[in-house]
Amino acid sequence: MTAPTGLTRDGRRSASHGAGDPGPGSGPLGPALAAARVHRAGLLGWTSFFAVAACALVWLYSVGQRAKELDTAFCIMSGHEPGVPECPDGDGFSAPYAYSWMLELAQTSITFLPFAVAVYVGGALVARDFERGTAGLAWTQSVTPARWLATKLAVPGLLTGAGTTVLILLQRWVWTSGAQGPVRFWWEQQAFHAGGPVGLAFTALGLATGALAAVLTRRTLPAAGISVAALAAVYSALGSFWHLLWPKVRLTGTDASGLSDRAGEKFDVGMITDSGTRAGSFCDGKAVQASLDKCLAKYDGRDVFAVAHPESHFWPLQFAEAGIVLALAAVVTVVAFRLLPASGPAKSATGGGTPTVSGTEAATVPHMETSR
Amino acid sequence: MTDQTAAVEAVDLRMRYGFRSGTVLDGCSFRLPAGSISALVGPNGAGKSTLLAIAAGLRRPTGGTVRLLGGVPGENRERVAFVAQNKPLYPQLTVAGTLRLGAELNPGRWDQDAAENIAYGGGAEPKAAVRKLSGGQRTRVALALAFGKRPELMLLDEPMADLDPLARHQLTGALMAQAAEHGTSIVMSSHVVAELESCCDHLLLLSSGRVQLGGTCDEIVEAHSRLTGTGEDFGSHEVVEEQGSGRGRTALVRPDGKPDTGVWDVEQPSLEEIFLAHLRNPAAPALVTGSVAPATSAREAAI
Repeated sequence: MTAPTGLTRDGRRSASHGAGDPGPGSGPLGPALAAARVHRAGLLGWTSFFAVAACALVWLYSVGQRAKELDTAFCIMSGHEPGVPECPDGDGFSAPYAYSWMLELAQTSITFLPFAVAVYVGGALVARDFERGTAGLAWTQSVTPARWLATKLAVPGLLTGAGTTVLILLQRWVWTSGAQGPVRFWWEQQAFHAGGPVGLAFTALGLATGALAAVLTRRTLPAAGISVAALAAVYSALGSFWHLLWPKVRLTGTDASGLSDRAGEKFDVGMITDSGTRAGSFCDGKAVQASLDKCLAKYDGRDVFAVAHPESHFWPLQFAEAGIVLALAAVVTVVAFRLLPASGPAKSATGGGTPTVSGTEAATVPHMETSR
Repeated sequence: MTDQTAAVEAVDLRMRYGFRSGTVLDGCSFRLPAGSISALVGPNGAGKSTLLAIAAGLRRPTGGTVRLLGGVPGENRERVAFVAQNKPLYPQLTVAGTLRLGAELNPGRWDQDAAENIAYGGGAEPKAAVRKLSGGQRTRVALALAFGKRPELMLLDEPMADLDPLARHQLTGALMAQAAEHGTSIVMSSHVVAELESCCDHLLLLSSGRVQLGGTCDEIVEAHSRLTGTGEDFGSHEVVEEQGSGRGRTALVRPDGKPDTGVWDVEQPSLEEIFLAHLRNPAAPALVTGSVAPATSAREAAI
């Protein structure tokens, strides 16, 4: 009943079934190369962004040096800080101003880069594969769902991780060597994120949330939206609670009164009196003992105190926050992988033990030998 | 049984997509022997695509088990090829790039010649972008990915739907050649019975999530008769469908013993007539013949 041999002409030209040409590009790196070619647009986008950003930061270094030469090592862009002069307002190109807003832009970009990563990974990279059905295509080629997701995440993870590291290092170089006057304080969230491993950890979290949102929703727009919302929630939570991640110090005397915003963030300040303590800043900016004593006498106090994170807490806080963000990223990644269809002989679906043939009243007729 | 391992064997397979939607598969049990071409037929919404997606390891069933070439779905990925109904491909890749993707995703197995034969048979250029292909060319590229990985089992969901008659003929020939030369098991779904009858060894009719008919074409045809006449009743013959026709009555039955030719005019119905009768009468009892009956069900029936 089957196999009219005349129809086989279209079957195959060569008889290389047993040991055929393995084809180009196969090998252990095959899936990675495939992912890179499928997402060529994203690869190109990231490389160009990285190149432009890195060049801009190198140029910004020279601007920072010029601003420093203009004796703006200690000046303030706007507002008022006791004992700090306002930055000179230049005509035309003002190095301090240019340095200030461009460094802020760089820090903001690095801080919010993970959001772009989350949108890209959640939307374009993973969810679109589900939406189009090409995830199923990969899974029914010889790639397990876990390997598929791992490749999807490893390639952009490696590239964004390496790129972000370089950008953070460049930013630090520009930030710490340039004029200190017109820049953000170290503890401001965007300066903090762009200035250390927290930024890198946040990129990993962006990657992970994007993947989880995509695996959960399997649709592009919801995945992008959910991953950004989740990342924003973590970002704002860190903005509120970062100072709890390392024990603060209690300063007294000129250490407390002379601590500028530039050197640390104060959380509780007050005056120590004979009857206890009084909240409120009284003798700010008194870095010299004599002027502090004068101020204390005026307010009838014995000493001032400040509970603060001094600048020396930058690295402990960085590592504590980065650790938490990385742990979160790891958990989110594990959940994303667990939500994929099981591959291999995992626990099969329910009812595997005692199959019952209900439903179909399968009548069986004696077996007849098939003609094939 | 002619083969020890089944290409696909399902036992009481159940699937529903959520609490609100209805049951898609409602206890499917069958066994499709390895090394043959099996057709999965049924009306739209019968559960054909779901069944194939579960077999391909893309969906988890709500209940029951399915085994492919002796393993659970997903266990022997590299030996099984699947072409989904919507023929998913990366639109931004070229045809050659898509075949290269196949090579990269199937290291050590890929047969470039086999894939190129299928992909370029419809006039597609290697450098053409997939998004610009016609429906038929797209189907060819999707099938090329299945052929190129040299599978032992191909699961094809409505593979011929977008093809013109000539391309259908060519690709049917290619599938039959693949099965004949390499012993590849092929399971393909369709709602057009006529196109499958000529090339398939086994047929499985799925209706409302259940197996209504299963067996070889010959087995199914031989198990049915069309009786026309004026007899009082059909006796012990199992009636699938009965129609009053003017002076007498005519019915599609599964004869129990030889029908009385004195009372009845006995005809051999075509496969398509049998299918249509079953589709019109989903309440008709299921008939799964020996070659397609699952091992467990055969055992229970014997008791």
